[in-house]
Amino acid sequence: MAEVTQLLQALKAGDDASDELIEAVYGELRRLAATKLARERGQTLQATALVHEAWMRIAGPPEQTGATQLRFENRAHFLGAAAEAMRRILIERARRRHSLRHGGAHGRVELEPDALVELPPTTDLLELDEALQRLAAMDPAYGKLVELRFFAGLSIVEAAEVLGVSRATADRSWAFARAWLFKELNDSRVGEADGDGAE
Amino acid sequence: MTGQPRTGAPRPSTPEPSLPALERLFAGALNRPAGPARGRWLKNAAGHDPDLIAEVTSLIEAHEASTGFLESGAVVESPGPAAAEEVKVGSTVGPYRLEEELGEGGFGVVFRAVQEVPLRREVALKVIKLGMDTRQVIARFEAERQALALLDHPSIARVLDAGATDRGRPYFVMDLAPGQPITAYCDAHRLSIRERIEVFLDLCAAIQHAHQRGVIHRDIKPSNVLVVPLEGRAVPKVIDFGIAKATSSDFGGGTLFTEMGQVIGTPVYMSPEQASGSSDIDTRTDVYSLGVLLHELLTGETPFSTEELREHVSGGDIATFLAESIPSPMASRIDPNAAATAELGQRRRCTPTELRRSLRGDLENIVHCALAPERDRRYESAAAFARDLARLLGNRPIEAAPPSAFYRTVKFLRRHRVAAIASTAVFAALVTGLAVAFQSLSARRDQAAVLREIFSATRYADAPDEGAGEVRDMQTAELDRMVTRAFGAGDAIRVDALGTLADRLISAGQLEAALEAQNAALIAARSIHGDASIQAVRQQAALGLLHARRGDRMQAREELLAALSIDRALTSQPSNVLHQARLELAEILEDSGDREGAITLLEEADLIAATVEAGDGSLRIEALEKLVALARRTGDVGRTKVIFDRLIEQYGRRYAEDSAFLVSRYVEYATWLASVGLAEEASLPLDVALDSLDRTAAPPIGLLFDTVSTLNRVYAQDPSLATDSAARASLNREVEVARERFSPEATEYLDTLARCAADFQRRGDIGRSTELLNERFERFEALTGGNELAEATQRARTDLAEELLKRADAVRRQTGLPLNTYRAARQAAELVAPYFPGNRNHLETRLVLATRTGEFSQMLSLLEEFERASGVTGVHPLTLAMQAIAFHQTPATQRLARQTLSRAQELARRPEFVSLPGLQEALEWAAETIYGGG
Repeated sequence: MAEVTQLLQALKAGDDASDELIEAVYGELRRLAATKLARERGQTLQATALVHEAWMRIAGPPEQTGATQLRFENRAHFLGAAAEAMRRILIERARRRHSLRHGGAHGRVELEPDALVELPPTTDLLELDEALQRLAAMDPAYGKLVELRFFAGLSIVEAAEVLGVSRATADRSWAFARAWLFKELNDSRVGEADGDGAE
Repeated sequence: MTGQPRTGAPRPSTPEPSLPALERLFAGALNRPAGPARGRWLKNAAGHDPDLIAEVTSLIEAHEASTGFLESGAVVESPGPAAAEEVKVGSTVGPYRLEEELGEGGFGVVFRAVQEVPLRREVALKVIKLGMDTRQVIARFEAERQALALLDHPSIARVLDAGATDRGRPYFVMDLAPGQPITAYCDAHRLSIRERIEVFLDLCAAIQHAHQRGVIHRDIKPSNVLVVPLEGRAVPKVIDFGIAKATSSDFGGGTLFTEMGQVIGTPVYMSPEQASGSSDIDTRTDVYSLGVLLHELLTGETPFSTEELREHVSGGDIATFLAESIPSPMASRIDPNAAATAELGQRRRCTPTELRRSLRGDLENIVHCALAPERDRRYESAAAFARDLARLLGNRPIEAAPPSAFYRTVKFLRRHRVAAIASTAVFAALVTGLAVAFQSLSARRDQAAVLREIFSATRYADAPDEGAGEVRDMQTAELDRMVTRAFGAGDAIRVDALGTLADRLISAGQLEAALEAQNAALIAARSIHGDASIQAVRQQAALGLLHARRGDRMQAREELLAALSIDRALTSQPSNVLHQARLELAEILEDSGDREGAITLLEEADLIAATVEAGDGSLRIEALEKLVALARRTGDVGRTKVIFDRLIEQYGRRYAEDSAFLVSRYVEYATWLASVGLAEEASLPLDVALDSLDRTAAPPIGLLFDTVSTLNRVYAQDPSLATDSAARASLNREVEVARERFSPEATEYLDTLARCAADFQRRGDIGRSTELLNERFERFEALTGGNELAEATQRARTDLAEELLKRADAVRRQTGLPLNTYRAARQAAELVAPYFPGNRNHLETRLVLATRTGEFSQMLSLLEEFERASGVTGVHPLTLAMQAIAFHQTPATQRLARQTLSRAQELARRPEFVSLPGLQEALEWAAETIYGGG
């Protein structure tokens, strides 16, 4: 936590979250997810819950005022970094699973290859992530918004706050980005089916 | 959102608008009502650029189709990395030090580990990954430990120990078996079919050893059967004995979903009875899994693929699918021309053709026998399975019989219930045909070859790839020539042969070729038996059914009407032969608007079936099912009820009283009756159903829930049908059953709680009602997590909290309610406390309920809180009133209560308190409690 706090305090308003910060937040989130999952019987963790809990922990309790409390703009920085970190965590998991399924785990006896957890078809993470990168390549602002909304599970209001835009703007961009991604995913699926057929 | 320079646009040919520009058009179009207005606006705004308009239009379509897409936020759904971090190479688990990770699967990670004390040995240690109830897992393991201790076989890896890691995950310790999964081993070492069977025989011996000691494995699959090379021999080692059972109720059986409804693993090796979640599992479940394993060793694939099962994965369909399907024959899976087949053969040291040949006949029959969906048809033990395989290797006759044509046809019809309308007539014709064929066979031996060919063609009617190849391309004319040459043109067998060919072509989906054959069959029947013969009528009806199948309803109607009119004229005796024709025609009539004509026809079918049918009533049931559906569509309740009654009566005759199927029909009937307002009538079949379920050892939980739940809805509809206490008992049962039926976190369960809470309230049990609402609230809170939430969830939670507070508030204002009601209300008020910080009404409610439930220890702190929240310090009429109520609860302080109350009343007259909101009410209530209530 200390590291995240320091990195955050070093940032000035308007700075983008550095790779170093994302890396540190990434570590925090993974540790937090690990302990929560180990402790609790239910196996589902909302990304948004994780991100917010991590923030609460580094920012300290809200009533505690004083030098240690992080400034408000740090929260936006943190959430931005956390969204990117959550995306990495989830994509990494999905990749790992994907490669396991296709026998890519070298030097291992592969147990129960058919018993892996599957995501529902509507959210194939890897496909989604690829489409998202295409979107971000055309205009990074949309990419960031989707990252915040989907991967970090932020509300529209929170996402708007991180991006420094109005709620109405965020609302409109969100509808657009969703439609764009949805279309992109469908198009690429149709393309695959037409093209090389079944594996 | 600020515009950014575009980089890497995918289609570089035409300059594309920037995304923000697209977004403006998109948002602008969405702001207009859908329709021409939007189109016009877009056209103008997009400067009549057709590409741009198309792009925006497709985005809007995507927007409309994408409801919910990405809205829920990502979920970290299983503790993969967590588990890996907790137990890793180098750490210790209990007395074991983890040395090397051997593998990872959906449920656990396996390590090679070393035990130092009391003796040094190497073991395999499996840590279960998913969140499970560790204590239960270990308790179940302990229960089987004695039986497991009896296992002593070179091919069984013993389970040595079980325990929990520091973080509370269950782990199991086993003999270390450094081997490869059996399928991988056989392929890597290119074992021939014979060698594979030999290894498999050792495996059967190990399983038999366990079965004789009362241990069922329940999870036989390649990754649990490792092969270790030992002195030049391949020795199978079965691992995980006892583990599947210990972990079963957490993720075994039919529950193949996580709480998120995601599929974890598909049960390709699981027997139908195990997939159905039945608790009645015996050693034959292992025989089935062994059959699947052998199938894979031989053909390289399991009888049903993961994908095939996944299609049926929702709603527990897998069990039904497995129970009603038979896999296609093994040889038919080997396409000698496919590239993959060559490799498949090489791994078995044979050519594709040799492979195909060796999978036919006896071996096919043996595998089939092990894979029978009904366990009574399976080998009764692993030993019997092995014996038959040994006979095969020794070229001796085997016990397993080929599945009869009848069995296959029945399976086929079951699987295709919808399509069965046409097939049943076909089936009748087929069986008759075969019977005739067999008679002829014994009479005329030289003609046997032709018949055998016809027979083999029809035998695999449901598996057109196998055995039928030679006949598949045979043209109608050619077959007719062969039959005519063998039997003569005037022989009735011609009709059957042609009819059978038509049936087979229908099964193969070649409807046009079938039409030719069926027409020929009709012509043959007319010329041999005469135009007005029953044989001709039958073929004409078959022709009509075929037309219906082809979608030619005009032609179908014509042929069926003609066949029926000849049939009616032909004999005064009613005949069932045209049963399917009547059913099909009725459907055609209904679709063309002649509902009454359809009903008349179906009534006729039922009447004839009732007169002539000797069997199990299935013909009547078929007719009545359709009649019920038709009558329901007419909206005539009286008429529908009469027919429904008849249908239910037939089911009652056909099925045993405790059959789940019969019960499900009762419930369906009752649901309908309730839906048309006949609550009293509905309660009768439900009583019968419940009675029957109660006499069943392990009633299907879904059915039990439907029954109890419907009964409660009926009681709610007409409260006079049950006394309050009976209704309450039934509601309690529903809650109990629902908890088992759904997971306690499922929304269905939460809905059940809400509905039962409302019913309890109507039945005057506010206490129980509140308890259920409390439970729902708690579960909902736990479910939605304790952190910041999406707005909608937050609102839903607040709404629920307000509902609870309102309930608690209502309860506290009443006197003379049972103690448990006050207790439940108090719990409700406590539960929602975090939602109403400093809320005076809430504090007042808690305070009053604390006094009502006699929990005075809390009074003081609550009073303090109350004072803080109401901004009152010192002596205040409101707090005095509360104190008075508190004092009144104990006999010793009742006098003090009266004094305190008078003091409060006195104070309340002071000008500064006169207009205090809520004060008068509180005083009245206190007075009523102290004086009014006695």
